[in-house]
Amino acid sequence: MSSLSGLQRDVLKLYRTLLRTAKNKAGVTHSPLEKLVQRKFREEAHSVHRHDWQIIEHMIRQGYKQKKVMEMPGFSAASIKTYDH
Amino acid sequence: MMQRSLRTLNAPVSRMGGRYMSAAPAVEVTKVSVDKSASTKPNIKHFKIYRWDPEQKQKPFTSTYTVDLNECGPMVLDALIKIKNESDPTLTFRRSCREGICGSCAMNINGTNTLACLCYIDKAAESIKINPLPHMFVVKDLVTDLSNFYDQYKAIKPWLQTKDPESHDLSHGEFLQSKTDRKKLDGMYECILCACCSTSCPSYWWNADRYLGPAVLMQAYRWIEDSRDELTKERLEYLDDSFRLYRCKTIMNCSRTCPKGLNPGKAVASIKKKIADMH
Repeated sequence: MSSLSGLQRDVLKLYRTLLRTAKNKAGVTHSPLEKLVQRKFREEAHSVHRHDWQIIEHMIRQGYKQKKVMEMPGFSAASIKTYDH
Repeated sequence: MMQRSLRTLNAPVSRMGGRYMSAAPAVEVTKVSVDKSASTKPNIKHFKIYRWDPEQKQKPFTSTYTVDLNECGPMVLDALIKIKNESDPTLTFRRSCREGICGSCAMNINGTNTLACLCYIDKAAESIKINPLPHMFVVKDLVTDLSNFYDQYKAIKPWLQTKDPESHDLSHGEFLQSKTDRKKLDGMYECILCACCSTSCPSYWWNADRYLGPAVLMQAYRWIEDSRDELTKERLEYLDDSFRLYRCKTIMNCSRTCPKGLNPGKAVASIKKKIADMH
């Protein structure tokens, strides 16, 4: 295991937390919610350079906010809508 | 910072320039021709505004906008809205009441934390520098993340707490309070939670996660001083912590910057005194 930087560790910690929240919400593993979390995370991760630490930190904070929304009792599903400009 | 008296805070504000207009007396008005030549010369002011859009994966930068002050209202918020309408629609900032009561438009203007809707555009300054509230995480442009600030406010339990189970009954009616007891709350209940004071405190910059900050501490004192609240001892014991309260080093930036003219520094000192008396 190559040594990860602090920022990389934070990103992975958020990823694990989001997947765990999705699993707890759906009740099963490999649920559509979990796949959505995976897809969104990978899209966002590819969109940014590894040295743009400000943007990565901002994304991590937004990720924890989304986790808070996912934990709310009324939340059941989510979807991603992309617009072609 | 001018300490505004309670009378001006409660005085009704008319639409005309924020000054209270009494009923107009019957006076003869003679028609006067207005000399327009003086006002047609444009009075240009430059606004240097902090910009950052993390969704566009860019670095923070400063945008400079020019505004003709003759075509604009007197407040910084008027200029911001004019810039957003005419120059740059992507400029993002919070605003709501435009009269200094909601606390949404709190930002750093020329180095001071104030409400944009209450801050007059400085005619003498060559440029106006507008930044978001200092040492706060920025969501976009001038919008900061205040969720930590609100969580801290929740933590002090800003509601009436009573021990007597009979008082929880709806038939209990009003909790009565004498005039002298009600007077103790003056200067604290007017807080609009704009976060200007907490964000101006260097101690809050360094310990935002654990130090509660002047705004929240003043509200904690408001509930301690409320004669109707019965859990005063528990409230004081919650605050008696080296980080929650005692990060305050009486820097007093909070009272200097409060846009409503309140004195959070004094409230924090009063809490410290009450805890010292408790021991």
